[in-house]
Amino acid sequence: MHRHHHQHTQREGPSDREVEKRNREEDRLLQLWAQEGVRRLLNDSRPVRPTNRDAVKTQLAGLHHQLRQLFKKRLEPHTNELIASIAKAAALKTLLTYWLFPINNLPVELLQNIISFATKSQPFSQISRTRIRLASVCKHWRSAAIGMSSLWSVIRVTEQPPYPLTQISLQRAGTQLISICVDQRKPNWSGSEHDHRLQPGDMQSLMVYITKGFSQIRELAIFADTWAVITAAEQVLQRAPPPRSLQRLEIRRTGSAYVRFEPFASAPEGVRIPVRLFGGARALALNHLTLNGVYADFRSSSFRNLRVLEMRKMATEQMPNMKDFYPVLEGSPYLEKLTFHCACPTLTGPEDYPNWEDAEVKLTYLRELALCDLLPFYAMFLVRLISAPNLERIRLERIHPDDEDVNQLITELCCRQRDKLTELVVYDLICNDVPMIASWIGRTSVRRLRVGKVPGAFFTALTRRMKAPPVSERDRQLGLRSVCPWLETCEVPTWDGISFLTFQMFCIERNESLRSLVIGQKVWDALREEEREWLAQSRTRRLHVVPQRFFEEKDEYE
Amino acid sequence: MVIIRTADKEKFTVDRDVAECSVLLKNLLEDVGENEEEEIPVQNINSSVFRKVLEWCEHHKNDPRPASDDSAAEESRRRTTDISEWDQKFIAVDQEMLFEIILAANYLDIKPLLDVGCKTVANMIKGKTPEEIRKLFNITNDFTPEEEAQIRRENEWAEDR
Repeated sequence: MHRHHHQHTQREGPSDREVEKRNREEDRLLQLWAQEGVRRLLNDSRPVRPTNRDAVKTQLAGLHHQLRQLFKKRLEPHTNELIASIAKAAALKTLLTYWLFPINNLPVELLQNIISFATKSQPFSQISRTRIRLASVCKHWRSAAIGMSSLWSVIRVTEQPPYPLTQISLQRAGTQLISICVDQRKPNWSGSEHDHRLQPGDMQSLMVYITKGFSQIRELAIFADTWAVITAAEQVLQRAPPPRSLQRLEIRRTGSAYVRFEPFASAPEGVRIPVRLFGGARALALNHLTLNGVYADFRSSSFRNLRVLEMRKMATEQMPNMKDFYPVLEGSPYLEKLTFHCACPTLTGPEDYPNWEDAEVKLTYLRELALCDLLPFYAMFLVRLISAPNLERIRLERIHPDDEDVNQLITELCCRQRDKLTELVVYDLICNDVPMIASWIGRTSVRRLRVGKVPGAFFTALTRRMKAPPVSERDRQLGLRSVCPWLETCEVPTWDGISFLTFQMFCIERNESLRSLVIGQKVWDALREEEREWLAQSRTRRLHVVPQRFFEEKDEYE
Repeated sequence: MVIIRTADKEKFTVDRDVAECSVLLKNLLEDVGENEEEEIPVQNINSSVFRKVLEWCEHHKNDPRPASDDSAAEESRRRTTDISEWDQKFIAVDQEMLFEIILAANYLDIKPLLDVGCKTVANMIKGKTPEEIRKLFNITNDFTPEEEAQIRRENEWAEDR
């Protein structure tokens, strides 16, 4: 806004201070009236969209001229009518410039399309902030955003009572199926079972509120640090009827598997008594279940027809026994992903083992199996139990400390002939038997290998050649082929136990197929200059040095 | 080959498989049959925009056509605003042309091109505050003081996470 000083013809005119004051007041009025004018014009003309941009441009040029004239007149004595005329012309100019920007002429469904892409492509944790921001641009955008109920169907509850944003989102989601993640973890949790972000009573009332509209919930994730808060949430789920649309349920507790409560009787009920979700009734649509650090009752459980089952971090006393767990596996023939991470079905004792020896479950659709933080004996038992002819990805992590049993596990894996296996993650697995490792991996079709904290024997095994159908002219002569001739990508998150020389041999041997080497920053930092140069020099292989978080499991709710 | 006439009366002779990237043109072509002499009018698009659209169709003529009624695929499609390198270069145009392409893709019913346009705009607004978006598109803040207060509260709740 230009500032103008009145020129006065009379000698006894107002003082400079009075002129300045009057100018300020006029400027304020001008701004106010112009804003009101724009608002009025926008509301009046919103449905009318100019089709001829050139006409708008001509009209704008005319307005520029008109405004110049009006501002000239303002330098002379004038009344508020002139200010009103300037405000009117300024409002029209703002509106015409607004129309000149093509986004402001888009049909509402296209604007909604854009808003939808901008919101839904964000990480889960950013969705709420993004849609609120987009609904704060102007009336048109707000109405477009609020009018799109699907935009509000993903809700992350990190608030404290009375959860205003959650209430707004649920209201705007209308009848849409909802994905809700109650994330009440502290970023820097102390580890104390008394250190809650949300009090157990508040968690209970929040869950009561959520379960009122349970039939509309498609995904439910509950994250908290302590047993008391998780128990409060679980108890509500125990009383709730089975939700008919719930497809995915994830409950995660941050604290460790074993927590000391003195006396034990003072521990929250969820530590001592397993929770029977939905009173043991079956949630018909539930096909994805993740239980992390919780105690669930599998006896008369509602868990059948699962496609994803993940069990993590359970105290031995809280793991389901095989007798209760077996029907879940047997009743889920379409299972695609199975994870046992520091949690698995237990056998009551060694005498129980023979009963399950022949109880193989055939999971034709199982693509991904993770066995982590388990005793080799249990890992081996699970490998025997599950027949997965189409397994594509296997993760073996921290299966130790008994070398003897690890060898047996690998022997078991050899017998299973995982010839469709294309991705292998091996981390912290102690096995020094080169022929055995070569024999196992040689039976797979591994294309992507992630390996860390293993003895050098592992890479030595990968440099071996074995009898096989010929795959190249050179191999035809030898009658041998590499252990995994299709290996394209090798990822190395840590360097422990691996000597550079062995790794170098592996790279040379695998030169024909290996196209990508992904090295963790820690590994890269630990290398000598000449070693880095050697890794970087390859013409056929690309080297990627990545931050350590690249190797962490992705959290869909982050 | 088919002849297509734009709003400014320019005629384009186009390979049938290129034209059929557009569901609208495909349906119109089915109606006219094999009559190659008949001109197909596209009323709402001028020649400069149509030329751009044809450039896109030519490049993507062999792409698989998206299924029209797969809601799960539709939902997962919206979870990314990644755009291929070729499409990024193609859509690096001024705002006016960008929105003309979006409107043309919408009118001609070329879903993948519409996605490229909408994703481009989505990428322009992602991470920006309402004020930054207003500046970017010359949008007037037309909220009443009462609405403004409600919006301020909502933003405080959303930022305080």
